[in-house]
Amino acid sequence: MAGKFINIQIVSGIIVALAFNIVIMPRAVIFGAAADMALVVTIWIALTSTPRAAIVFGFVMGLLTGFARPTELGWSSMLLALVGYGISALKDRLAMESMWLRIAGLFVAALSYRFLFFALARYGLLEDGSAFVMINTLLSAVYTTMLGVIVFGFIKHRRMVRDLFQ
Amino acid sequence: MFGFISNLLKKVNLLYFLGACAISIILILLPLSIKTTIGALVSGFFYYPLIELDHFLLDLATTKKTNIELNRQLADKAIQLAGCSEMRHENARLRRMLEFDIQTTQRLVPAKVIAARAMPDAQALIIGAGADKGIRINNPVVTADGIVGKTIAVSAGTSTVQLLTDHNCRISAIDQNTRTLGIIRWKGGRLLEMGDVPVESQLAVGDTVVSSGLGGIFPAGLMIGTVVYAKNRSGSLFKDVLVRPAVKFWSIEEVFVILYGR
Repeated sequence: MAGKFINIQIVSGIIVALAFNIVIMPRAVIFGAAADMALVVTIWIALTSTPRAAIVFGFVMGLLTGFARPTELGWSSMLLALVGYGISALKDRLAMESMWLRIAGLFVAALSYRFLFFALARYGLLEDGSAFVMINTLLSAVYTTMLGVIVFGFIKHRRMVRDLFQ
Repeated sequence: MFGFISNLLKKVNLLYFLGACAISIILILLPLSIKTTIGALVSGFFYYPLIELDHFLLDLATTKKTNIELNRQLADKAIQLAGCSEMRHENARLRRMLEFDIQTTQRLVPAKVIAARAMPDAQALIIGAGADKGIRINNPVVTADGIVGKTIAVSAGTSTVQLLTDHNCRISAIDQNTRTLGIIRWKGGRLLEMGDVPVESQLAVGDTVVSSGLGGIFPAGLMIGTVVYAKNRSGSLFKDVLVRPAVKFWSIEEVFVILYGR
């Protein structure tokens, strides 16, 4: 039963993240920086579900993102799987129950993901315009964190409402 | 060696991660042409509904903008059309007036109505021609339809016209059919009264009433209106005669002043 729930969670997370990244995000770019819903959902699954689910989700999500940009195929799947695995591993050790700690974790993960992505998948950019990459990485991390706050807040609120009626 | 593998197998999550990394590295190492082919195939399948949704939303936004723009253009065209319609009517009026100008032998001064004044005791128009065009007090004012009234005040560039529908306006009139004389005056409503018509007169409904020329202000033969009521009153020497004026006083825009009596 739990496995079925995890699968539903993963599939719905993939659909939501893909829809958001393709339909909404291109219209909500601020100063060249865009929030990454795939990263937010990966972290949410890592925080609330099993490490395996987080790794699988991150990998599949990264794979689907990579198919749209063939030059980066493989990089995003590896990095998102790493984020899922890393957050899952740290979750129990750091006891990330506090919302602020989760948000801080989200920011650090977003920052690391973006930087590693630029460094590995688009290494040419690091040589040509590192200032741009740094600013873009920072802005994207902030933007993604803000999106994460909204998503986490929404999920928490929804659960509170659901609990009220149970 | 066996112990290491056994330990590793216990760490299922790590194995999952390493598996993901291995597949990712294989994908990274693939030639770009193969990556592009796989990417096109897979994204065509997975992204198609989302791209369609994206296009649908884009179309919706564009449709809204287009709709606003078309509505604005429609309003513009409606205003232009109203202007054209107005010009068409003005053109028709001016053509009729021009024909009237050709037919008449009188010296006419065309003038535009610039203001209307309607009060209980006086009904008047102000026209945009005055003494500078040779207009004087008591000049007849007409349209192609018939008599409008006469000038009662003249300044350099404007004149005040007392309408037939003013209480104080009187015109000596004649029935074109029976040659019966009478006095036209307004007694309220939309009709004029033709007074002083003897009961012996054969004047009847449908007859045309024109100016007689006897008053000295209006030349003879100018259209006043059509008889719509003519009956004898018991014990009276005169008929009750009502005339529908030929001119529509509520929609006069251009007039002619006849420089008459010089």
